[in-house]
Amino acid sequence: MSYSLSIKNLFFTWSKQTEFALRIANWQVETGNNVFLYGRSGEGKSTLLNLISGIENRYTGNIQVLGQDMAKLSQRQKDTFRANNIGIIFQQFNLLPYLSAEQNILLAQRFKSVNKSPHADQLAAICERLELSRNLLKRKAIELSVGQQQRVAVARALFATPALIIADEPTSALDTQTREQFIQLLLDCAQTSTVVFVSHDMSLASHFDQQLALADLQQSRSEGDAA
Amino acid sequence: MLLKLVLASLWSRRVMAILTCTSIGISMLVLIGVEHLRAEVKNNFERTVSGVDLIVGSRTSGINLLLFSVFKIGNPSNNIQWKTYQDIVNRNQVAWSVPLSMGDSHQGFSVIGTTNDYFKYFKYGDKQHISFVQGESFKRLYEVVLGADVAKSLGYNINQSLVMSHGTGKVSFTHHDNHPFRVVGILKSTGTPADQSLYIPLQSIDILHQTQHIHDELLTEVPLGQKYQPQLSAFLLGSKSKIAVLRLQRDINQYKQEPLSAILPALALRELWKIVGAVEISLRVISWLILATALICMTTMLLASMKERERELAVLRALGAKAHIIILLIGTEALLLTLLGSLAGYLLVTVGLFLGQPLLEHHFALYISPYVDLTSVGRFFLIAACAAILLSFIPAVSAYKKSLLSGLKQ
Repeated sequence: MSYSLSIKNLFFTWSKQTEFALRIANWQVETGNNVFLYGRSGEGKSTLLNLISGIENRYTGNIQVLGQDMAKLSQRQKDTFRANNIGIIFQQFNLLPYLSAEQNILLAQRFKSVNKSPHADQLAAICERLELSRNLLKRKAIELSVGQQQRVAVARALFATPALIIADEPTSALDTQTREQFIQLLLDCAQTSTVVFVSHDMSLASHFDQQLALADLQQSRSEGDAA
Repeated sequence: MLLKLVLASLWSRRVMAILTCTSIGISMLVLIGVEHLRAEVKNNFERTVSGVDLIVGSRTSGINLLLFSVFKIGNPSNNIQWKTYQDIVNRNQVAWSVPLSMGDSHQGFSVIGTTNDYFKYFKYGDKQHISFVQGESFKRLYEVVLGADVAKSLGYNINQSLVMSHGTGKVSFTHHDNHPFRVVGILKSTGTPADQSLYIPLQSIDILHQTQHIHDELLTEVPLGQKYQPQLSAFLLGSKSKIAVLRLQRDINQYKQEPLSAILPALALRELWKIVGAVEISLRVISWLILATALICMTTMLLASMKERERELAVLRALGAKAHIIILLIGTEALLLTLLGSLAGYLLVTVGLFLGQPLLEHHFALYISPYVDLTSVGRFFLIAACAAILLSFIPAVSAYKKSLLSGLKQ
């Protein structure tokens, strides 16, 4: 059995604080699985995603993403690894406002060290599934509605066909109906990838193969210690 | 893609970008303008006199002799006797000579008494001869040849009648009304002080200062040295061989009958330029400092914009942009701003020169070419571009070092 994500004895603390913000003894995500990770605000969900994607580097323990020990990579290698293997959907979408929707989608592909040139068919296919019309693709990101921005953010994360997709509460600004549609769309489009979806909204959990509370993950450390 | 990203990003901050370009443009305008003016003025200066081996005057400093004999600034310390002049020019080493007598003026322009040899031997620029745009040289006592600026400024034409005034000031209360002169020739513009003088026969200088009227005569009827033995302010000499020049100079400087000074015009010009040299260096230093200030301002602008762009750069990094992409992004931005600003500066200088050149020529007799030397402009562009790229490393490295996390949290 292969794992897209494997975390062992992870300890993370914010600087100048003695108390651990995250403590995970053991957590593995099988390749191709969709994981729903939930928890209260401030519990460390975004921090965990940042650690996985190599955005946050101050930790002890072992994080393996797609078989790669993240601690062994330099910052430059982490950037390349992220560009080649990880698609990120941010909580606030983080589209570049001055670029068109299409340019935003193509951006991640440009930073890849392999298969840099975008395929028009691939772009057309993903845009069709996400209902992004040609007209809409030409518009500046700042001119798009929240729902349209969200779809562009998903397209950007999926277009580079990453092996791992991490989504950090991308539905927090959406109403219930749109939220459901968005999750369905994301999971449909990411069928070949492993998805780690973080949210505090338990109503979305049923869409995923695996549901996990961050508090339970942290608990597993205590149990491990006790054993 | 990178260029598109830079252009789109700059366009989204266009007011700041335009202001930065303007500041670089103005500093480049000053730099190119000052350098061009300096080169042109120096060029004009060095073109003032050529092909003359020695300038001789009564004992004075080399610069003073050059100033009054060539630039018509100041006065000779004394006059040279006709006999002395004859004694020197009749020497074996002397090939030709041009006597000059000054002290009168017309509407602020100096009047030079000389012979027709002036038009034959006086050269400027790259040994270019003086030529006539209209008419010819004087043949009679009451004929005058006008320098190009004189004719242009006063609107004189051939056959115009005019009178000379005593003294060299702009305003004179003594006019030689009883000796009116007729314009017989107008010289082609040389871009030198020669354009700002009136030329009359040497014999006429004596006549001007006599109260009784003397009938106009052909110059051939009144040869110099007989009826007229005018005193000279200076004279120009050409030697038969270049080797003889230094010996001739030494002999003249040691002339026992009358204290004289002989100078090599090229050396004296260089010496005179050295006096202006300090101003030249100061101007250049100031221009470079202005450009440096503009580039530092641009760096400050980029650094300041990093705060507002922290999120944008963090997003790029989160999507996998490596250090060199971020550095290239900011470097390209700085390079574009600098090149656009520099180009604007260059265009402004060129337009300014095209518009201002006639005014400079009219008011200051300065011929400044509107065509800027592209080699030096290219050099300035290159220096500015290199400086911009180097300076852009400061905001670029700062941006890359900024925590990815803090950018994304904004």
